[in-house]
Parts: sequence; C-alpha cells; structure tokens
Amino acid sequence: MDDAIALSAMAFIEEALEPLYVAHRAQLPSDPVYGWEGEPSGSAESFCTRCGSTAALEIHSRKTPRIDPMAHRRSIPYIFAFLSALCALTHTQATSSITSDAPTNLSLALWSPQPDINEAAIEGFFASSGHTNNWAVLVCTSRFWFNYRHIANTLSIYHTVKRLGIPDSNIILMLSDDVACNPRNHFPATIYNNAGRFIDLYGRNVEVDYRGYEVTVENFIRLLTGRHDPDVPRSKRLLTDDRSNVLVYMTGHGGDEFLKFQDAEEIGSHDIADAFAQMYEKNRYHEIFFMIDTCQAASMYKRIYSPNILAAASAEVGQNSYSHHVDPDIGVAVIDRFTYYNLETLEKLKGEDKSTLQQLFSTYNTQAIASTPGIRTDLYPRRPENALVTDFFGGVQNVQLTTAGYKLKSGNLQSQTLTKQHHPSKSGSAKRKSMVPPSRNNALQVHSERGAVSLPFVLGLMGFMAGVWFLSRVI
Amino acid sequence: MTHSTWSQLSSQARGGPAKGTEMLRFKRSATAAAPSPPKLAKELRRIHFRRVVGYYLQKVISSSSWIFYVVGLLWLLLLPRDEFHHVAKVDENALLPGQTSKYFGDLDLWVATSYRDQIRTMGDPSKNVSGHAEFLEQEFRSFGLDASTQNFLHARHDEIVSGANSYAVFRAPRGDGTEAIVISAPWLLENGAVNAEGVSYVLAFAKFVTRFSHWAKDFIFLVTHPSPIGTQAWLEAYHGVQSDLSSWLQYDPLDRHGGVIHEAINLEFDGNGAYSAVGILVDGLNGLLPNADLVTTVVRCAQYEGLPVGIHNVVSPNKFDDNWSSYFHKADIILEYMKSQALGVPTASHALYARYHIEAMTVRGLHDVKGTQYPITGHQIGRAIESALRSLNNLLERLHHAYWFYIMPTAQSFIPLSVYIPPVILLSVTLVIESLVMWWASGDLHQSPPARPNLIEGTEVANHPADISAFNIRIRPLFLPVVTLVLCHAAGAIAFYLAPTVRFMALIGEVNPFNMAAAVVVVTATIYSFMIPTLQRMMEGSGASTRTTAPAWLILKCLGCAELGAALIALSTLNPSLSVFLAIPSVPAFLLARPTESHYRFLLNVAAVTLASPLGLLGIMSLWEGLDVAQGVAGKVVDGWTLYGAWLLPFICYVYWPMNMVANVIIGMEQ
Repeated sequence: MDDAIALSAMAFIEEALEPLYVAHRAQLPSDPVYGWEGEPSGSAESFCTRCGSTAALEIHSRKTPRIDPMAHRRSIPYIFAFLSALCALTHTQATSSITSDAPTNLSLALWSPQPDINEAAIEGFFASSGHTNNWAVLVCTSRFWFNYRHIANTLSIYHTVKRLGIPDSNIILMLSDDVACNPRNHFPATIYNNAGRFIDLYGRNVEVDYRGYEVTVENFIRLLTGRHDPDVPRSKRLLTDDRSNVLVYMTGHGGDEFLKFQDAEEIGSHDIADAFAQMYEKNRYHEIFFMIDTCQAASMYKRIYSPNILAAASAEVGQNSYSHHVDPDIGVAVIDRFTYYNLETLEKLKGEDKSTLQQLFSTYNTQAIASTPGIRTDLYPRRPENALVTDFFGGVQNVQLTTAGYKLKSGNLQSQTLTKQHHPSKSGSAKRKSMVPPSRNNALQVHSERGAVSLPFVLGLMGFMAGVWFLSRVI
Repeated sequence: MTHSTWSQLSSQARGGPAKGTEMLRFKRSATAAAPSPPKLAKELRRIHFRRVVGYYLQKVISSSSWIFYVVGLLWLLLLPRDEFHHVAKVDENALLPGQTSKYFGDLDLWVATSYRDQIRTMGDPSKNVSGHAEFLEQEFRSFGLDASTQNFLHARHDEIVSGANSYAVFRAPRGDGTEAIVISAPWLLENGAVNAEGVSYVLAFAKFVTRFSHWAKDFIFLVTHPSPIGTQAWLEAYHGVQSDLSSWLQYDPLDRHGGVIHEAINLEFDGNGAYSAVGILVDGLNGLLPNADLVTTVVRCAQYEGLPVGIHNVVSPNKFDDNWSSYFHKADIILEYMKSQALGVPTASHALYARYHIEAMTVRGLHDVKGTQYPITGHQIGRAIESALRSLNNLLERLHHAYWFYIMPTAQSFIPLSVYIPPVILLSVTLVIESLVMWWASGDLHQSPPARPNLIEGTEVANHPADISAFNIRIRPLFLPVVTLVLCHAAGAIAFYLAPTVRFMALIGEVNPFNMAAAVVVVTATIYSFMIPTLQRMMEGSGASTRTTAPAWLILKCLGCAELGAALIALSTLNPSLSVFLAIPSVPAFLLARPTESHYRFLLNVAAVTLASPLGLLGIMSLWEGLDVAQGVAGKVVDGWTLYGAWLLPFICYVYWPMNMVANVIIGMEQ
C-alpha cells in the first residue's frame, strides 16, 4: 500500500463520517454543552448525538449531574482512531503514537503491541505544566488607519505563536480593522511591523477569525465564556478544556480599568475578570497568560480573581504606553514598544526552548519601553520561574515516535494531575472541588469507558475493512 | 415683591389684626395660630433687610456699571501677553503632520517651474478668459484627470464680467470617493498680478498625485478667475445651487463631481521669485474660522520643511529682546487679525468655503519679511504642501477635535475662546446692566435708604414707613420710546436698501467722499434730530417727566441699551472682533447719552455718539489709515453683502446704526 491508497482511504472514511457530523449538528437545537441551563438532554428517545450511542449518555448522566463539557469531543477520537489504525497498518513497523489531547489515543497506546511501563518517560513527555493543548486569543481592538500599529502588534504575536507551534485552529485572531486594504496604505495588502519591512505580516496564511465590526466586547466575552449562538462556527469558538493553556493578548487604546473597542464601546477590567472567572467555573482553562499592551494596561488585570492566571501589562496605572517607531513611507507608527521588546525575545525562541517566563520578564527594560511593565503573579502559584514561555506561546508537541509503547497506570496519572491542579484555599472552593471533578478528561475516564469505546471502534474497523474491500473491487 | 409684602402689612395695619393674621397665615401656612409679636417683628426685620440690601445693590450697580467696561478693556490689553497663549497642538490623532516621507522631488519642481514660465508668457490673461481656461483644462486632461470648465457671468456695477473656472477631479484610486480635498488657486491675485506659481503648483500637484495610490480622498484642482467671485460660483454649483436669473451671478452647473469636500487649501504665489516666508490667511466670510487643526497642520508641515510661517505678513521670531517688544509685536498681529476678522469680507478664495462647512485656508508666498534670513525654495513649498495633503488624507471624518474660535497672536499659537470671550462680553454687558439701571431709575423715586419699620409696642401693628406709598411709583411711558425705536430701525432699513445704489453712484459718478459723508450726516441728522422729535411731540407729547410719569428718555435708553447690549453679546460668539470694535466706541457713547442742560456735556455727548456712528468710525479710519482705505472698506462692506452675503452691512444698518440714532435722539429729548 502506498500513500495514494492511504489518502483515498482517509477520504473515504471522512465521507463515511460526514452524515454522522450532519446528524450531530442537526440534533443540537440548544447546545447543552455551551448552553447555560446545563440540562442534560438525555430524554429516552434522544441518544447522545456526540458519542453516537445511548450507552455513553447514560454513563455520563449517571456519573455526574452536570454535563460533561468534553462529551461532544468523543466523536473526534473515532476519526483519530481510524486514522491511527490506518497509520498503524501502513507502517511496516508497528509504532504507537501517543497524543495527549485525544484520550482515545491513550487507549491506543494501551492497545499497542509492546506494552512497557515507563512512567517517568510518559510524565516527562506530557507537558510539565500539566496542560495538553494551547490556545491563543489575540485581540486588536482599535480601528482606523492611524492605529496601524495595533494591528501590527497583534499580527506579530500571531505569527510568533504560530511559529512556535499553536495551529491556526487554536488561535482566535480578532482584528478590528483592515489596514492592509486601507486606501491610505502605501504598500497595498501588506502590514509591516518594522520600518525595514522585513516581514509582511499579512502576506499569506493568516486566518482572521473575527474581523471589522465583529470585534466587539460582547463577542469577546462570548468567546471567552463559550456562550455562543448555536450558529457560530467552530472556528470562532474557543474550544478549550481544563487542560488548555490560553494566551490572551490584547492591544488597543485604554485607560484606567478600560480598553476601548472600535471607538464605540469599552471593556472594563471587571468584565475581563468575570469572564475569566466563568472560564474557571466551566473548566475552560488550565492556565491563562494575560498580556496587554495599552495605556495604563496594569489596571486591566487588577480585578482578576480566578486562579492560575499570570498577567503582564505594558504600563503601570497612570502611565502611557508608547509606540516604537514610525515607518515614514507608510506614514504611521508600525509597532508599540512593549510588544516590540517582547518580540525581540520571542522571535529568537524555538519550539523546544526552555526559557521561562521569568526570563522573558527580566528582559523588560523600562528605559526602552518608556513605561514600567506590570506583572501580576499572585494568582499563579506555579511561579513564572517554573513556567516556560512555550507553555503559552508554543503548542504542545504531542506526537513522538518511539520504538516501544508505554503502558499507562491510570491511577498514577490521575493523582498527578490532581496535585498539579491548583485550587485556592478559599472557603467554598473545597465544595466546588467535590462537585466538579478536577480533571474529567484524562486517561482514567477513557480507560473506564473502554467498553463503550471499543464497540464503535470495532464497528469502525469493520467498516474500514469493508471500505478497503470495496475500494479494491472498484479499482 | 417687597412692595407687595409691604402692602400686605399696611393693609393689616389698616384692616385690623384679624384680617392681617389671615393674610399672614396665607403667606406662611405652617403657622396655624396668630403670630405673636416677636414673630411679627422678626418678619418685619427680614423684609426690611431685604429692602436695604436691594437698595444698596441698586445704588452700587447704578453708579458703577462702567466698571465692567474698564475691566473688559484692561483684559483685552492683556491678551498679547504670552501667558494667555496656547501653543497650538494637533488635537486630531489621525492628522500626524510631517510623519510621512515626501516624494515631491526635482522632477515635480521642474514641472511646476516650467508651467510657471508658460503661464507668465501667456501675456495678459485677465482679458482672455477662455484662453487660459482651455489651456488649464487641456493640461488637466493630459494627466488623465476628469477636467472641465465652468463659465459664469458676474454683473459688476457698470459692466458684465465673464469668468471661467477650470477644475479637475482626481478620483481616489482605492478610496470610496465620498470625500474630497480642494486645492485651488486664483488666476489673478488681489493686486492684479498673475498667480503664476500658485497655478503652477496646482498643475504640478495634479500631475503629482496620479503617481501614487495611497490617496483615500478625491482631489479637486480648481483655478478660478476672476476670484473670489469665481470660487463663489463654483462652490454654489458644486453644492447643487442653481443661479436664478435675477441674481448678480449667473453660472453653469458643473459636469464633474467628486466626494463631499471636507478641506480646501488655496495657493497664492505670485511667481516673482524669491519668497522669504509663507503666510497663512485663515479668517473667512463673516469672520468664520477654519478648525484650528487645519491651521496647525499646515503650519507644522511648513515648519518641518524649514519654512518660516507668518500671519498677516509678519513672521514672529522665537525669542524677543524683552517682554515689551514681544507684547507690542503680538499686539500688532492681534490688531491686524481682529481688523480682518471684524470686516468679515472675503480676503481670499478660502473665505467662501466656510459657509459649506469646509475647512479652508490660504497659503501665500511672502516677500521681504522681517526676521527671515534665507530665501525659501520651491522644493520646500512643494514638500510642505504634499505633507499637508498626506495629513489631510489620513482624516477619517470632518475635523472636529480642535476649536473653531480663536485669535492668533502668532502663526504657532492661539488665544482660545475661553480666554478671549470674557473681555468681549464684559464690554457689552455694561449696556445690559445700564438698561437695568435705567429701568430702576424710571420706576422708583426712592433716593434714600428705606426707613426702618417700627412695631408699635404691645400690638401687632407696625408704623407705616413714609417712603412706602403708591405715589412713589412712577408710570413708565412706553409708547414714545417704542415709536422712536421703530422709526430709527426704519431709517436703518432705508439706509440698508439704499446702500448698493449709493455704492453704485459712488463708483459711477466719482462722488467726492466728503460730499457723500456730508449728505449722509445731513440726512441722518434731519431724521434723528428733527423728524423724530417732531413726530414724538405730535404723537405723544414732549416726553418730559411729570410727577406721575417718568421721563421718556429713561425708557428709551433702557430699551436701546438692552437691544444693543444683547446684539453685541450675541455677536461676540459669532465674530468677537466685530463685537469688540463696535462695543469700544458705542458703549461709552450710550452710557453718556442723556439730555442735559450743560452745553459742554451736550457737546461731549454729541461728539461721542457721532464718533460711534458708522460714519464716525469711517472718519476715524480715514484719519488713521487714509481716506482711500476707509473708502475701500465701505465699498468692500457693501460688495461683501451684495456678492457674498457678508452680514456686516445688515448688522450695521439694522442694529448698530439705528441704536446710534437712538442715542442721538436721547440727547435731544426732554429731561
């Protein structure tokens, strides 16, 4: 079998699965995962559209009174399973790929022919911060030609995180104006962040998720909290889970405890704090790095009260944040100082870089930035000394080829994650802890649901084999 | 109010305690029982206190209303001091003056200079209207622009002048074409010279802008001739106005249009070679000013290119020898600025744009300016203009961040509205207060502080103060003053309708200005010194005071002061300079005006009022600046109204002159 066959087989599987997706969408009048009511839609006749099986729903309903936010993702793993199986078949040497963000892949690991126990290796393989996926929310809130630099700031960070491994699907890019196509742009259809015009930030492969007048306070808060209209496409949603490290980068014109959106409205520091709190309640993040480049930026993180959030701001309260330099041919300032000096560090990093955030913060030069950057660590018990820059700016490299498979001992993994998840020792937090399992989306759960998983898997395998047979007949 | 309270009390005294109690209870419903004597005494004391305060307040105000005038004058004299000036900043973030690279290079300058030479050699172009228009249209077309010519006819006194405006529209290459910037130049300057370099810059820029795609707004290149009436015709046609057959101005509709015009820059460079500075002209029709951001942007862009910028042909040095030289330097400029604004007639083509909410200013080349050392080059001028256009191109909306009300002591600084408006209003507020004083004086005969009321011991009855009496209140005669006001206004209206005719006769008949002035004096004197008083006597009697009636002149002065004061205060927000120049002579004249038996006082009053009359002001001007200037100003004021709608003439004829006649009548009235 060569690649062509493999590809056609994959295409076939995708086609075969498409009706399932359609059904999945169609039967979601009110999205119970993201809807507020939290009412399990487990009435007798409706089967769980996410897992495609009634059994799974029963398991969920019995296990937790609340709906599992990750439930709908279980349909994805099957595709992964098929594809993995395909890969396994196409490779002469039996290798096991371990992906950490799709639980079924763990089962695949368990399924691998040469089980071996090497917990230290697995532990080292999973990100030491305890996260399994990375997301970035990059927001430029300013309109107008003379705010060119804000768009350049945001796009610079976009290119950095993309280079460091966060895929476009995990980056929500919000640009409130299109300066590239502004008639005043001396270099049409380009955006540069330097007077040298080394990189065209708008050149190719830029996926803007929210643009123009879509960039509103409402949309931003909906994005963070996940309270979307059912019609909002998945590419515009922040599909994070409690293992997600989220980079939230904002830039625009702000003041004491507000950031202006679009010249029409503003977001307050309380709004951001409450949105993060809702994210925490809904297990939508593991850790957040909140970075903001605006005047009096430090005021914007002042009100945040949810745990595991690290914040960096370009200027203290009462200080202005300044632009770095003007490109005289474009005629406007092209980048802000804080972002410029961050990029100076970030652009030298590679994907596996072990620099910590503390090292990044120590590069901040108050003289050069012309304002005092503010850093807030009190909500972040892991300390910036222990957090890697790539924990937020990079993606989890979760594919590694090994010669032998690993056997996981589920109990160890869970206890480990439990100790890593930080909860503030406030009154009431203990209760919340007991109500909400700290990590519902780990290997253990998958392990326990093996029966529910294996049936469709076997069916799928049969279907796949039937497909291969069918293809061989056709060809 | 005090009066009615007292009548209550006196009726209480007359009608007995029971009724009085009832009335007091009505007044202060909280007290159910009859007030005890101490309470009544307290009430009496309160009323008495209020009367005393009112009396002294009246007295102080009556005797010192002139204080406001003096304070206003002193404050005006302080305005040239640096402490009152704000260094101009650009308030609109989008403008970013001078941040861009300038691309205006040798080739563009060569285009400009070759056009300049060509225009110079076109002979006497003022006679050959269609020739130059054809040439310009052809050149515009050669750059690929939408070019056209608008013809118009202008009836001027004795002849009909035909004119032609050539214009071209450059469409924004990637813009939406909703907004436009005008770059204009008159073909001939005010002094009759050909605006060779101004027009050549317009042509050079028409060619220059086609090289770039970064323009977000349409550019309209406009060469008007004759100017500024050509600008008027073009602007009216651009905004969809059709000329009606009876008007002074007949013009064709435009067959090319661009977006909504937001800003306009008018270029006047006579092409006589070395300029030593560029000058800016900002004040428009009726003294309307462009947004300060436009002025600041153009000045900044010029200064970044190393051009000295002057206002009213003066370039201010950065440093002065001492405070006094700085003071007099700036006082001179402010005076020139205010004179120009007060007249409100168009000084150049930019003046007419303000009516359409277009921010416009003129940039002109200045020769032999004191304080400049080096001649400036065409490069600098071209780059400064380009830089300003790039800034205006950055705008996303109309200029609205900076103010429209300012006085410029130098090209780089402003006196904002908040600083200069108090003295302007203080000058005229004197008249409003004087009007109040006259009203008090005509109604009340109290000339002594109010007597203290005494409660009769053991009773609830107070002594009736002698000064409280129905006979102390005089009747205010209103008919005679109102008739006088109406007659004076009617006389002003007649003057207004005669003004264009008089102007025509003065132009055609070569009338000696002294004869003209004498005629006007005789006519007005007849009106206000003879006819009106005679009419007054026929209709209403002499207007003298009697025991029960106040003299009519008090009421007339009261009404006149109120009207003139209100008019000047209203004017101060529209054209502060005019308000100042009218208030300074007329306020003292009005304060002094009263019938008197002293001959000296009478002569003083008449002199003050005559000096404050429009004719007197013209006389002062002819003494100060020469007869020609005064004649020219009078002609400009009349033309400003008939051609452009400048409302200095109507204001003078409908408000200011009638009020001056009223002051004259007051002097001649019975005491």
